[in-house]
Amino acid sequence: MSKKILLVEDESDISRPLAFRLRKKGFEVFIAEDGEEALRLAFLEKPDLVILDLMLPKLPGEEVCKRIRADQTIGQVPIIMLTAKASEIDHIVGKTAGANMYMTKPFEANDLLKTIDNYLKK
Amino acid sequence: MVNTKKTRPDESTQTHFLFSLGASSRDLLGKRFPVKILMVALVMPMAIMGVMGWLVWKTYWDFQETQFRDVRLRELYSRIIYLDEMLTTSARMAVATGNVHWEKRYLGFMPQREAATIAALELAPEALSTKEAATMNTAKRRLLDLETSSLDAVQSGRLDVARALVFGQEYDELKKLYSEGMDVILNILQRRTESALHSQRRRTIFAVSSMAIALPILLFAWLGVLRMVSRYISDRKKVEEQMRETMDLKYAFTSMVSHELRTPLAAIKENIDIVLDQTAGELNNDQQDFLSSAKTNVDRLSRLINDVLDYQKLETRQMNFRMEEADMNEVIQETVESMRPIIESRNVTIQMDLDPRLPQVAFDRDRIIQVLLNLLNNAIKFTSHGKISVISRRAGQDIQIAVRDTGIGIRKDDIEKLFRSFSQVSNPISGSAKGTGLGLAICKEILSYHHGEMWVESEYGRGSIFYFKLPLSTTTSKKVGAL
Repeated sequence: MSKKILLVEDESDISRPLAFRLRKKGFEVFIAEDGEEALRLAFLEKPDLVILDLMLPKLPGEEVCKRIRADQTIGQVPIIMLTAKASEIDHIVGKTAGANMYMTKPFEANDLLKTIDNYLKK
Repeated sequence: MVNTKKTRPDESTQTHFLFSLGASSRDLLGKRFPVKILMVALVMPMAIMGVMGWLVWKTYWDFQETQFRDVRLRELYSRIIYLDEMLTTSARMAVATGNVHWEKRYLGFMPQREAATIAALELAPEALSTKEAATMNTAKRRLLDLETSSLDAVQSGRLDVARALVFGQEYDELKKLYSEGMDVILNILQRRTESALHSQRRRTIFAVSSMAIALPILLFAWLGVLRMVSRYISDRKKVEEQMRETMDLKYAFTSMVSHELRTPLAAIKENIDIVLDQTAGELNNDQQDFLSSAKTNVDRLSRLINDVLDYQKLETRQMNFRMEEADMNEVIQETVESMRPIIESRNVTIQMDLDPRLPQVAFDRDRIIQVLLNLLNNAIKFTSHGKISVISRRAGQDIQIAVRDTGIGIRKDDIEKLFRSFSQVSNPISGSAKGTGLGLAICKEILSYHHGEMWVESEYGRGSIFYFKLPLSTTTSKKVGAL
């Protein structure tokens, strides 16, 4: 059975090619465009990995991250956080919110794929 | 005070004054303080105080002298008058009694009177030049003649002749003339003393009243100076605050712009990448070529954004440094190995000459790698053949790293602007990626955070050596750059 990836990104110009790439790699990809939908899909689909943007409409990325971590069934899912804010403060916020990995935009697709592979192997 | 505030013309003079005193004034910055007037108000009263002080001092001593002279002259003249009387009495007694004892007394008083006269003349030589003094002197000499002649006559026994000389009409007239002259001279001296005292009094009054006027002016001027200083301080604070705000705003603006740029850039990059790596289907060679150059430029743009943000953070001291003791040689090796494929694909060899006894120093690994990458990238960019060497050495209390290339070198004029932000040296080697002009400026800032230094030696046409050094004792810099 193919692994499920939840991609939370409000910019469809970024999420579309990324989802395309991931699907080509054989992953099942769900796209959420805001924080609330992200949580809904996370609880519904129970993904194996979450790619989470920090700045999201409705609910900010760190809040989404916190709520996923607080849940018993999906709390252990690897979370890769993406953001355009590269400052150190955001780094700390991402970590305390419980993200496993932090990547800044613009990212290298290959780096992201490698990271995903790393987390899903375990 | 020149504080005009047109928005509230009806404000009372008191609030106006308080307002102009400073603390809450809103339009302080635009106002010029009347410095020139203040300087005059400061210097003039001080000069007046100085001159007048000197005048009072001088007048005081003049007064002392006048007083002393006056007392002494009075003393001398009363003594002269007394001695004159004694001389006349002695001469007359000698004539009347024929006793030699009186002649001796006469001769004893004589030098005393001469001494007193000389002393009086020395003290007030101006009295000598008067007409009265001349008349008096003649009378005195004549009297002296009459007296000595009469004394001679007494000795030779001609008492009647002697009597006629000192009791005669001429003697009395001369005596009268003499004492009148004496009175006149005393009067003259008295008047002179009075006029001296008068002018001294006038001078004192003038000096004291000038000082009384100058003192308040001086006080006001000093108040003005104090105000100016306090105003200057508050102005400075304001300007500094404004500058800080401007810096903050600049930082906020640049980081906002950069962050806003990142999102579309990420979208462009991802969409190009997915086509270029043929995930979305095959490409022909031309398509791949054109897309490659699009990708190169997107990468360049994202490098530029990162550099701008880095530089901004360094400039506003908002960059965090994680200082840890580490082996510099290892960092160099790691960095060089990561670059080796790119370097060797360009017909250039790379070699390392590392000091095996290089001591460990504390530095931020990622930032120093950033510096090394920058120097290596520059070396690659400007070197078309030959070799690039990385050298590590201990130099006194520092460790010194050098990146040497056999490239085109740098002109003397260009070396100066090399470390300036946004300056770029033109590169004749075609096909190399263009930089942002921030790389070396960032490197220099990073080194300065480490209390280190960076410099370059270059010979145009033969190559360049970029050096940087880090101090061994970095205990002070461990916490540098905390947020």
